[in-house]
Amino acid sequence: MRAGLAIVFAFAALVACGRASHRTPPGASAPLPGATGASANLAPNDPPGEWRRQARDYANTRFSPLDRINTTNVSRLKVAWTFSDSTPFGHEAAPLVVGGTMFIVTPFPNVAYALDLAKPGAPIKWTYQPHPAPIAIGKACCDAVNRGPTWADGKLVFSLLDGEAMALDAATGKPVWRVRLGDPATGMTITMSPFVVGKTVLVGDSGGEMGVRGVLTALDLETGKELWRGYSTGSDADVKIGSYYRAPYPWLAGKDLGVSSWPSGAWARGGGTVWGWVSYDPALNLIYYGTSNPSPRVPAQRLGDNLWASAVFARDPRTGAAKWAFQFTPHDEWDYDGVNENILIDATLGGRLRRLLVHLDRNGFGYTLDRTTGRIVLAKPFADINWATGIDPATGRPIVNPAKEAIVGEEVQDICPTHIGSKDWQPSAFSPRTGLVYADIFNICMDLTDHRVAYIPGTPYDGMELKFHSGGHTNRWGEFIAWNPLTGRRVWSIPENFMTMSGVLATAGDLVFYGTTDGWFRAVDARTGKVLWSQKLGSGITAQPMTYLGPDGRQYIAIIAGVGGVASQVMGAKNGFPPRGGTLYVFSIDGLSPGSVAGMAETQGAGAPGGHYGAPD
Amino acid sequence: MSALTRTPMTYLATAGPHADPATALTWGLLWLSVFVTVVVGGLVLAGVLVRRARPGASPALAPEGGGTAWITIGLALTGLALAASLFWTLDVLAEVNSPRAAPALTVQVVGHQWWWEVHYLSKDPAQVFDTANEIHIPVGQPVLVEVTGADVIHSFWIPALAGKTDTIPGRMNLTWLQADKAGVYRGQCTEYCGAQHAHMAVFAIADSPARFTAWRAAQIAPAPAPATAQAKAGEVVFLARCAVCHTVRGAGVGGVAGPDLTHLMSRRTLAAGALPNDPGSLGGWVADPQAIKPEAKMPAANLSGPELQALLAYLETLT
Amino acid sequence: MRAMLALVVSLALAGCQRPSGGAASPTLPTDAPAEAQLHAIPLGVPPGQAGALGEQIGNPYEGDAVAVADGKALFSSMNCVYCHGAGGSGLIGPALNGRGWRYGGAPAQLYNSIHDGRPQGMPAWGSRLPPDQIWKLVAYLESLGGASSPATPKMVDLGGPEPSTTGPQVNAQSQTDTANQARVAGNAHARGG
Repeated sequence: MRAGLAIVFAFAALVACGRASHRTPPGASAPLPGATGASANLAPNDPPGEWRRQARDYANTRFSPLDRINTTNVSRLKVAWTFSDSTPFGHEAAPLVVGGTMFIVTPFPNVAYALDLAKPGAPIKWTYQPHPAPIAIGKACCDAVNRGPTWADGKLVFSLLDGEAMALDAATGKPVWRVRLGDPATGMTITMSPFVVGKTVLVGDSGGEMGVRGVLTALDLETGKELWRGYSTGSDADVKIGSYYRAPYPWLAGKDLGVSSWPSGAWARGGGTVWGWVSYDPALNLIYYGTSNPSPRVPAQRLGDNLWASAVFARDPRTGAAKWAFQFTPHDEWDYDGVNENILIDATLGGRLRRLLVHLDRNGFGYTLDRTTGRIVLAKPFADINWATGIDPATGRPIVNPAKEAIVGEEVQDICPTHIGSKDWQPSAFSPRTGLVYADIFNICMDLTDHRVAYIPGTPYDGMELKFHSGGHTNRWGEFIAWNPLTGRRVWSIPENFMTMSGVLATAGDLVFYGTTDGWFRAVDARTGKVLWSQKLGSGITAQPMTYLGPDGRQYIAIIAGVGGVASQVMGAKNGFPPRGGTLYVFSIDGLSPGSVAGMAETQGAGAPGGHYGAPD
Repeated sequence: MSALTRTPMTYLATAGPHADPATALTWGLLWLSVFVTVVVGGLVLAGVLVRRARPGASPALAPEGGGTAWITIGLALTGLALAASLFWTLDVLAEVNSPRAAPALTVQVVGHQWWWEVHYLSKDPAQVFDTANEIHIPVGQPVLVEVTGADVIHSFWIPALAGKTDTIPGRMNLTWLQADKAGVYRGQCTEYCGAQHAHMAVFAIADSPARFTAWRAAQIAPAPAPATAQAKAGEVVFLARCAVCHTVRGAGVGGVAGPDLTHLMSRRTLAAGALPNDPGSLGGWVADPQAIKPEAKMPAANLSGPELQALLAYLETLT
Repeated sequence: MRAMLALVVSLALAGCQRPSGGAASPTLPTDAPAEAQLHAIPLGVPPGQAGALGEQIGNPYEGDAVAVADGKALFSSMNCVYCHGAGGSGLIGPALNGRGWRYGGAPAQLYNSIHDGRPQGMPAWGSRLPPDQIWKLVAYLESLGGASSPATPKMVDLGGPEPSTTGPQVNAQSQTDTANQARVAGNAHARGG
């Protein structure tokens, strides 16, 4: 059956390639001399000029095979056109480009736009306003954000902040289905980008700060009908741990650990929400995703390991059955969610081809796991941390520094990293050409005072009182690093004065792109870490860069500047932190785009059909 | 037990190895003091009453240095008595500092205005639970007690079992309890902490290990879902009006400002010893806590009669 | 308009008793008239148009340091602090220590925001907290410096038995004046709307 599915996927990939107007240039992802030896399966091998899901491929590499913009001409990047969505909340997603149309879903109120890339200025093709309930704004812990749509089978699938998921017909903007997955009055929201495997839409929940129980729900792509639910806490039946499950370590084996690793009944409001990224290995037919911090954030009220919060699951996407699960931070005392992206890479280690999973966790350790078993291949700090001294190789558990453990009623000073970790959800990128992982990280520490906290549904189930300061050897808030996932070492790094929280784009032009929360958008030589181009944008950057090939054959780089989210909560008071925004910037060589000539002749009368004097709908 | 029954806060009749050495020391020092007082008093009296010879004779001064031997003897005897007291005291301090055997369990006690929050801790999360104002312990086994405060400084004192330990916000003090006989040992806040300082009692209840284990299992269990219509209505009232401050495990709510009520009916008293735990007292307490314990943090919920009746029916299911 | 008249009448009837401004009284009731009055204040009216009514009802705990301390404790134990930040500095929810108030910064408007909740996620606490505790929360918010004072402070009668020595004096005459002002304001609002 698994082999059969792989054949289906391979065939689908072939068909997709055949239809594509621009085939992947042979060797675009071939390793350069001096590469680490890590490679990745870039399935489903979408047309190289397109960007159909947030991480571009199933393996979550965020690597584009386009190389028309490269190290030799990147310095000529200029703004081609811009688009403002006027949404004041944090922008945390990349636009998609499929078939000459760009798709954007804004933060709350989650308006979907389709822009026609073939026409000058990319006019609006259609707009859809879903009108989610505003109560959700005050329930989302870290701003009313949305991590973007995904395109599948002619549908644009995205989540709504108030606990819903929906699909639009990508051609017309007409809704196909819309389903409610939870009640925002209880604190449940959805911010994640749905992930589609075949005909299955995977969407999780947010609200680990509100006592929401984590769950990943599978929906049918055609109808929105629920297929299965895999909870992050509770009985084995709820968590979908059964005969398919193989524990990577003995302490992760046992009956109903999602119940027994909690004080009586605490699992039911124990967090472990699913708001990050999903990746998929078509060969193993497994999806991988992380779970959030346990609730409440104050650990004194939930003694035990608190499984399966701050963990990663490998599941069969057809049934939801867990293949393995591994907890990065048992009994998380510092809000170190395990939701960060899992990049699937392959490498020959010890003479044997290994299927690996790279995960730079909030807890500051860069994990390289064997993705068939969940066992650690290596785990080394990628930032300066002091909450743990290392990872026990026998069990995979961190060796906790007792001086940095949270205490009720007492301020524990200088815990590194802070609650959002050495790196938060902002997704890193992997280049098969260098074999390196590129990540924007933080050097922030906290003074933490814990308080016992009441569970009042719809209010934060929190208990942490925090003060932040920059830390680490750079003592600078942000940093951009290149990480060798096979040795657990940094190759180079670029310190930044403001938090770096944009996520990363890597291209076959041997460029990596990232942005800073004070609004600098940079292009860096993927091999050397040399900054080749920088542009200051209208707001800080917490959205991910992407690249596409326009209908005119030019390569474009796109990014939204609209700072917000947790970055504004942590750093908003610092002098120089920019105001909010919500503007898409599209760059090309010399700023050229369809119809770009001197003057305005090309654009006269070329507006969108029907005109758009006000928001439709 | 008779002294404890008649005067539950007496510190002269103790019942455990944390308190007994201090009690022995107390009596010992008392009798030593009495003895010294009698000896010194007798010598002073003798000095006053025993007359020197021939009062009219010329006052021949005693030779220089005469009688100093008595000073030496007096200092030596005094020094000996003081040194003995010191070493005995140090020995008692060392003995009560920590239990001989490893503690059977760890309990965390948090002083609040004006009640005691009690957390039973364990490495096994399934053995962790909260209660209030009553500490059950197994007879003959030492129990480690972590003591802290939530608001102001209180002092935790169960005189029959251990000395006072201050509850200081932001600080964790350690003490331990061990009862050698089964029974109910009353304790009290002994650091003035506000208007209801006097109504801040705590009880240590020592049971046989088997009974203690049964009690613990019952406490760990969540509250059963209410069965009767009235109790169900009462749960609705509870969730709407009481749940932001009180936890009932199993009802899906978890306030922490007031005592955990999951097994309220298993306790002997209400409001930290202010009232016996019987239906009438409970009704009066819920209806108007401020009349019974003025300035207590619990407000009157302003319930209608039927709401109050339903709520009481629900609370009575919390066995 | 009828609701406003009802409020005016009930204000006038609310009597001349002033609440205790000192330490919490053991018999502070949670009386219905005060709640009924507050419910008569229209919800969601933009600041400045909330009418003289809402702005003229004062906090019975005005200037009561014990109530401020109790309010601060409630601000933590009711989880307000995790949305609105330590000291009301703002986090998930808006800051409460500045001059900007979405729904009005007068004590009665703050009371309403807490009692009834607000559309962008603020829960309604009216069924969970008795009125005197909501007023204590308001007292704490006022102590943060951003709240506006009632135009002509009038205490809501909580039925406290003791005359206040700290709160402003209210007598029957000024209650009537308030009633007249309120009626005028109510009419103006009706025309404006």
